[in-house]
Amino acid sequence: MGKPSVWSSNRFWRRSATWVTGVSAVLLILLTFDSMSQMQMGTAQDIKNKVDKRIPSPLVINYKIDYQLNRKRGHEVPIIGGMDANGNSKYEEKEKFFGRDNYSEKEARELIHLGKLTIQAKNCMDCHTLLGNGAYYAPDLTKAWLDPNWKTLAPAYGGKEYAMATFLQNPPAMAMHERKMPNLGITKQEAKAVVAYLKFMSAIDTNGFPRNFGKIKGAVDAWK
Amino acid sequence: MHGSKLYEGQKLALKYFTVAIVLFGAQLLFGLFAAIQFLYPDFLFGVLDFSINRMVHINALVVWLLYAMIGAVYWLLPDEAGREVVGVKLGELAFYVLTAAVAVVVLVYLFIQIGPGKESTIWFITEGREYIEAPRWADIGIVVVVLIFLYNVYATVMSGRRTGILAVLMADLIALAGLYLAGMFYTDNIAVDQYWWWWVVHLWVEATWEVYVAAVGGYILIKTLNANRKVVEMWLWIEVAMMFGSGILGLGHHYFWIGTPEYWWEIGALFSALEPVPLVGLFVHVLYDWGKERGKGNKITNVPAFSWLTVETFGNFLGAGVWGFMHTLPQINLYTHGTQWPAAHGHLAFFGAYVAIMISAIYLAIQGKAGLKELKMTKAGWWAISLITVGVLLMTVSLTIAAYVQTMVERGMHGATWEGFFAAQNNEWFWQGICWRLVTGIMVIVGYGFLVYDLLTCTKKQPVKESEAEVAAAAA
Amino acid sequence: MEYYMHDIPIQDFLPIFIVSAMVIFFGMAYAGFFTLVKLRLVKKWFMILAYLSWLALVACIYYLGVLLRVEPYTQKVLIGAMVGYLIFPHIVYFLLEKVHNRFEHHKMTTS
Ligand code: HEM
Ligand code: HEM
Ligand SMILES: [Fe+2]
Repeated sequence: MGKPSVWSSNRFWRRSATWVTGVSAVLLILLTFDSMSQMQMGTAQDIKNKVDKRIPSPLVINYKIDYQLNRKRGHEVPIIGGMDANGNSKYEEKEKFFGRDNYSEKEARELIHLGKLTIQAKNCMDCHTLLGNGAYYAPDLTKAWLDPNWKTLAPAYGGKEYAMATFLQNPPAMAMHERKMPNLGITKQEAKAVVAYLKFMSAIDTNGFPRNFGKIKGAVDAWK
Repeated sequence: MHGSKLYEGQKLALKYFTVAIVLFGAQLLFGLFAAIQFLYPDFLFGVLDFSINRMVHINALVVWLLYAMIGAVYWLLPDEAGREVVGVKLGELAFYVLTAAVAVVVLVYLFIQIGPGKESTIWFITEGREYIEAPRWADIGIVVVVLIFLYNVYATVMSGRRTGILAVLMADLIALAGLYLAGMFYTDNIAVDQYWWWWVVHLWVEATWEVYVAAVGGYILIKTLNANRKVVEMWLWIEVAMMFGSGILGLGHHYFWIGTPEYWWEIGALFSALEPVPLVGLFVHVLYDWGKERGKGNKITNVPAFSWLTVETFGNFLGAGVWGFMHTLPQINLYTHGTQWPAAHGHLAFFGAYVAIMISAIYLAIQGKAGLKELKMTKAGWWAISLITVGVLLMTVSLTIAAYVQTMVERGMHGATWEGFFAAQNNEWFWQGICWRLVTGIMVIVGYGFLVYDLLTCTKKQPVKESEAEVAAAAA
Repeated sequence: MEYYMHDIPIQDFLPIFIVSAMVIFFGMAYAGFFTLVKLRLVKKWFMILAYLSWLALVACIYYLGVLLRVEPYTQKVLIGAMVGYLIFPHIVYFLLEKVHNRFEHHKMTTS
């Protein structure tokens, strides 16, 4: 037989494996740099300049949030502070959140911080999904802030945020289904922060997930 | 084959395997609680809520698999390298430290469960992030233990024989351990949080763990079939190329909807659609080796280990390949993301890809410990493999039906609202799927009982009961 | 690049899931039959089944593409993938044979 072919050479395949892995890893790292730059949390400046951020500034809690079909992108996008004629966010229409619509950047950030910590400390993701990841025992919370269910409950509590906060502090008392959420000992301040986080999360641009949100109930009526 | 004299490293491996099997039992028990709660929500409500049961279920899964993975490395390391494990005493110390830490973490999970919204909760109670809930102090402990393990492996290989299998394992274990660091920080930005969380979860199960399995699977093929080492090792490198080539950028299939840029749609779709290819390759390779060795009249020297390896090749292919591909394209993932689909896929994939091969490795060690030239399948072993495999398969089918209903009703019709969620959960077909999950889950648990019994007794039954076992297998 | 997600009609979900599963199944059937024939573990005419599986695979991919309303970019990727997959088992077998012959029949003949 002639000289052994490269195809049966251990060395050749070891090198190929190393190269393939290396190139993939480098590509992933480059893409990660780009993604991270696009996923920075927005600032007060962005809101002022009406710059859309995939992850908006926590200051969105001062604004009305909506979820509307964007014809150009072919799916729903969050609309913050009202929508202009081109289907973009106006960052103008405010909405009271626990009686105020003038949270400073620092206050808003602190609320978001406490909210996120509480979400982790209470293990929300082992029953619910957030951005679609987590457990499947309870509803997805990505757009919970916009859920028609809370719109219905809002008047009795003096506003959606109050209804949600009351629920969070003692869920079994407000149970709507046989499958109840347990009492996790969430304090008043934690509840407010969690609701702020939910409002903030509903303004994250998720490339149209979840699809057709509230199609039947007309929650945000994206497809009218 | 080994004589009955074991290396110290292999004795350490047996310890790891023992804890692994115990934790496997804990996993199934808490899975059972969670499955019951889907049907009877008041079961243990306020005592052990669903979130706690589920957390223990999946954490026990990950931890026992890691134990078994470390165990399998300690088992094959001295055999491959042809020398005792360097620093085995240190390895032993690490084992006890790790086991004590795991015990503390579990006790905290069960009795403290959750904490206030403070950094201290993240440090001492739970991190509240699926699969890697372990509090930060435990993370750091794990890193230290893993560093010791890596030292053992590297030092042993450096001063012993350096086989291809060991070379792949050394590179892979470094990556596996390093990735864990990506899950060890806190951020307020949930999108960034999940971005890095998937580095741990996806780059473990769909890249580094798969490569680990290919390496250990190669070792098992050599041991049980007397497969040709050169063929196994060259094939291993090809597998590494295919797995990392598709798996690393396949990560994109988790970056469709979490606040990430749209280009991940194309990248995730393309590379994750390629992920089943190495699994087909693995399957063809096992088939090839089996065919070749059979042709030469070689006997299988450890039937249970080889049978479980066969379950692994099919299971990996079905669970990861078929069930993975079913929901991996963005057009469809938009509707399946966050439904029972990932649960159906997760059960079969974890079982097929990892549970099966770790059980196979444990049978190999059982044989080595007893110093047997051959290990035949006993009746109990046969029941174990059948009940567990069929149970998980049927469980996956039940969950798939539930998932399909959920996709249609909650996602397609209602658009993912609270009402839509419960409309799907209350749908009769969904509910039946969940009922069957419980039934098939119990089947798996019974199979686990047989497995434990068999692992404890199979070597004693070999010479005497050999003919009887064959009759039983033939009759069944 | 055009980023556009089409709505999937409710009645299309079931065929989509079934067809995607079939894609992978036929993929395995093709590779499996191919290897078995090559190893002479089954009769030669099984090779027909192998290529029929591949054709079924192509049909499924085509149908899946239609159901998902894929855009031209993905269409091209799918076509490439099908051609690639036609060759894949050949490569795998070729490689395994090469190593096997190289190492088995020269130096170490196993007893
Ligand atoms: C080898 C066996 C098993 C493996 C590998 C396994 C693995 C898993 C995994 C990976 C998850 C997380 C799924 C996800 O988040 O996508 C999970 C969840 C779950 N498992 Fe298992 N499991 C096994 C056995 C069982 C058994 C026997 C039962 C019940 C008797 C069970 C009940 C559950 C339940 C109820 C969940 C929660 C699903 C949800 O959030 O809706 N598992 N399991
Ligand atoms: C052994 C290998 C694999 C294991 C153990 C595995 C396990 C899992 C688990 C447990 C999840 C759910 C994560 C969660 O709880 O949120 C998941 C998600 C997913 N897996 Fe896999 N997987 C494997 C391979 C694959 C492959 C090869 C593919 C694609 C062909 C795939 C496609 C997906 C997709 C698309 C999701 C995301 C589901 C979603 O969140 O929408 N997986 N996998
Ligand atoms: Fe993945």
